Amino acid sequence: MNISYNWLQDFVDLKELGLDPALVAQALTSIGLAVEGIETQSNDYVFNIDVTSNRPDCLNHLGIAREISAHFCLNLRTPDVSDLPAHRPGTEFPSSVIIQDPDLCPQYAARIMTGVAVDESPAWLKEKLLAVGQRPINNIVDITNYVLLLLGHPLHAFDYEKLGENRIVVRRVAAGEKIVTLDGVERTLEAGMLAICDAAIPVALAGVMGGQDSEISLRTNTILLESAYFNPKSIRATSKSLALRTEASYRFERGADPEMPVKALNLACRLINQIAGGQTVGPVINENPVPASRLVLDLREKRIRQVVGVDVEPGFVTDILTRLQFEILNQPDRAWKVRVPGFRVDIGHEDDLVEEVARHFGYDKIPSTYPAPTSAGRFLPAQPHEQLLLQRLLGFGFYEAVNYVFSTPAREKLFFPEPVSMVAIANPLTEEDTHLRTSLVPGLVASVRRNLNHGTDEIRLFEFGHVFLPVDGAGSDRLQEESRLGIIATGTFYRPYWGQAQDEFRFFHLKGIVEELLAGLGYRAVFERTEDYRFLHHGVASRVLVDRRPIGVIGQLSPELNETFKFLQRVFVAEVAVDNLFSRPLPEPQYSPLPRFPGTERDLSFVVDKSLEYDRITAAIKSLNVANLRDVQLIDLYQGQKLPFGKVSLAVRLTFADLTRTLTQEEVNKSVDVISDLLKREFQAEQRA
Amino acid sequence: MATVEHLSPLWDAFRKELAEVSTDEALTDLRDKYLSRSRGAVTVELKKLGQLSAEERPQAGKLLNELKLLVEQALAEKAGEIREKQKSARYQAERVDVTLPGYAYHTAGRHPIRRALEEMERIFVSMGFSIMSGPEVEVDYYNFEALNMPKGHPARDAQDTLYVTDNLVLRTHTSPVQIRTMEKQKPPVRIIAPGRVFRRDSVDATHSPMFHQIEGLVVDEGITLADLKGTIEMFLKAFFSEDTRIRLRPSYFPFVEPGAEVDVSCIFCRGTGCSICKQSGWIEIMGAGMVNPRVFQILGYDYEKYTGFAWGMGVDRIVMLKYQVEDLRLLFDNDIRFLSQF
Ligand SMILES: [Zn+2]
Repeated sequence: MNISYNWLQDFVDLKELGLDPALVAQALTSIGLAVEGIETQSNDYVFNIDVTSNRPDCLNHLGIAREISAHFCLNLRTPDVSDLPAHRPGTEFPSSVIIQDPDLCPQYAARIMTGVAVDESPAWLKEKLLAVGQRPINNIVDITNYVLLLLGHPLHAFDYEKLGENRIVVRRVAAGEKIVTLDGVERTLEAGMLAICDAAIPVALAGVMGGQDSEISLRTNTILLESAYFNPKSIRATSKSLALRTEASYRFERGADPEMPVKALNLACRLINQIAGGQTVGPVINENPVPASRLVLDLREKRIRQVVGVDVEPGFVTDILTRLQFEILNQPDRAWKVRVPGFRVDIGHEDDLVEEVARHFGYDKIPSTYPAPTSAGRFLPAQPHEQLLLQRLLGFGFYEAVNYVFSTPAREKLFFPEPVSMVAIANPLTEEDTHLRTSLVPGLVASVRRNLNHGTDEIRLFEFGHVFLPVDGAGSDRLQEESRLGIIATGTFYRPYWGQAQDEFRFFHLKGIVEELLAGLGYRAVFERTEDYRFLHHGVASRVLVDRRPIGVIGQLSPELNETFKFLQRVFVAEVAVDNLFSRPLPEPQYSPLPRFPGTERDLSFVVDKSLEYDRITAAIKSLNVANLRDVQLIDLYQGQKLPFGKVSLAVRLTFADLTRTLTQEEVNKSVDVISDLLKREFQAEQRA
Repeated sequence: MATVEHLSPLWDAFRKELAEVSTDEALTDLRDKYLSRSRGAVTVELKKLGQLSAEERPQAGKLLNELKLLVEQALAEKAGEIREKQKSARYQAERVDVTLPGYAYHTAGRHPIRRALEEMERIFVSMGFSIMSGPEVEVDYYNFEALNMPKGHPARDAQDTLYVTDNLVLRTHTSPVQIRTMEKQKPPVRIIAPGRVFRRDSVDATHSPMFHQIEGLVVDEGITLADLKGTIEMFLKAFFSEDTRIRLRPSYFPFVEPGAEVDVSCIFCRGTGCSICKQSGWIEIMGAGMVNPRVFQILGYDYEKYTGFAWGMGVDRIVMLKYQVEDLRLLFDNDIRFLSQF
């Protein structure tokens, strides 16, 4: 809202009291009318004030002047809004107002003026409008704008002759009624919108914009001047639905002063008479089927103390409320009974009055106190889990990514079989945010693409985030929001580096990381080959299971996606649902006594079919329950020219130990033989030297 | 005859030979030559003592034993010297170029927003706040209605909302978590709600349809606006620096009354005025206020008994400010060149 310093002086003496623009701006900001900037003009200063949506009473110069007068204890001069007697009898230009929908229009005041000379405005008026950025049009329109900027009440002038039967009907329109608004746009109205009509058709969108047909022109001689009060919700709905926001709608939808229509009308008529020579015809036509009532509220001294935390002088409270034009009806014991002025649509509760007192008392005068906590602060139950995984991932060199939760079916269907079931956004702003993601993988893959574009080819990222899964299909109010961890890696594992062999990031690097993360949470992960994921290479893809339940997936990005995203290197991804994993407390460390007797290690090499899954071998060994066998580790895997086709050579290291004694060679040999026999029997393993 | 005159050449010869010795082997040979039981030069002289008369014997014996002691001492010293030399030769041989780069370990860092959130959470937990969370897709009731923003409320405009259905929105703030908490818990309430929030905004250098917020709520008997001031001040001092000052300006948010905008003294110029704070010395950091009694009414709290305060701030903006990141998009690009700076 632009407010002119010079204009304010019509109502309060500023210059005379040394209140320069900087001081005024500071004061306004301190009472909640944030001055965002002061524009210096040739002979004026204009404040750009950010008026919060609850204070339509400050969307005009008088309202701002009232706040300044209250803050600095200045006298407030108000303009003459008294009734202007009729210059001519009403019979000369008969008219009438009928309000058909008083719920949307509780009051409609109008006055006919004739002999109006539509012309350019006088210099003083143009200057005032130009200072605050309002383009002058003609004296009649300028006067309505002037009254708007002064009192905050929107007015509208019709060409009397253009109104069918010269009368006004305020009513809800039927679907399909049309109007060409002042901006030249023909608008088809929706049923229920409130319009100002003549005997037949809409001539203005109530409280939003006038119609072109009844617009004031240079030939206009007689006008009908409207000053009404409209229901804020109705104006807001119409303005929103037509995407048409005007100075008038902006004020009506926030709440105009229900006591203002006739006053604003009187001021405008007086000015039209002075400036354009217009003469009033008959008295003010004032239809007011629903008279405005003022709210009466109690303000207790103890409530001020309870909310603000300071004792405010009762004299100060009385003074500030009076200056803000609250009417103090009486002062019972340590309280005030006040009547709220019509323009203060924001005041509806005792605490709203507390705020009036507090903001003029000064927030800076309120001390800082600290309420002591009554219990220790707690993190979320899942935060230690996330923290643990996070620390490990950072240690493994993975950067934390944050992706948008938005996606599109077009993107998602590259990864998942159609039809992809997604949660749609009803009012997306762009083509990239039409839906919500169902997986973290597409976002991470896009992040890899961007990094490669920048020349970074060693990429390790992870993301904790939500995915959104529809429950009952599109348009349902039910959806499942799930927390997941996504991990992606590509490029080198060890960079070319002196003293260190270079290595590419491989599937088993990522698998090791996932195993280590789950182990930290106290889970032993099981991996099961799968071909169910379209986005993964079907030879290098695995489900991740804990406690026999699938919790995620890991693998190499499919060759098709590599082609789509023009990846020239292998990309590995994992995605794990974490809500369930995090629901169990982190495992407490379990101490077991350190072995006092050294263990014995034996390596066993053997050749088996390549198609044999390693997990089957370890499971079989485990099922033997070999005494004192503590650990089985795969230490080598070979396939190549030394072996027949379809065969693979494995070497495992077996660790034997007993807590109470050193094992003898014979015992260990016997155990190794048992295992070796099993491998031969079950898997036709040929032992190698 | 073991006289001084007789033994002097022997000692001189030994000293000369010892000077030539530089290895363990040569030292052993020299020891044998002078001290071996069978034919060592000193041993031979000692054996000759028996041929002397009873008068001569004590004097000669004394001299010979002195000589033997001197030889042993000299041999031991030499052995020490040789060991020292060997040690330093070995150090020389095994020396590395310590200026060669260390092995390429690679640890990563947190995302700057999550890092800032983590720090804020830690401070608030230390102040007795518990962390709460809620869904990102929220019911209209929790996001608006219960926060004193019924349908058609003008304040809904300020938060252009992404809708899933008429009843489901992408939460525009983390305030719904406050409502959900108060529904479940009776006062005292002392919580923070960090998380992602959404607005119907297109992406550019200063706008994003997704950003992060941290909100706080304290409800109890006797909670005042002065408590709000002190609590926020304590947090901001811990987060920025001890000399941070705050300023409250009256403002409006439907779910608080009285409401305030909180400014913090510019972290760059310490309040003297610079380009970042547009010469004002202050930076707008959060919205705050006393919980509106209408919100308490909706929740069934007795607002005559309980009062409370709440605040909310954008984390992304603080990160951009603190590190002078000029483009908001960098926060969601996951560019490792950017992430590795934090
Ligand atoms: Zn500054």
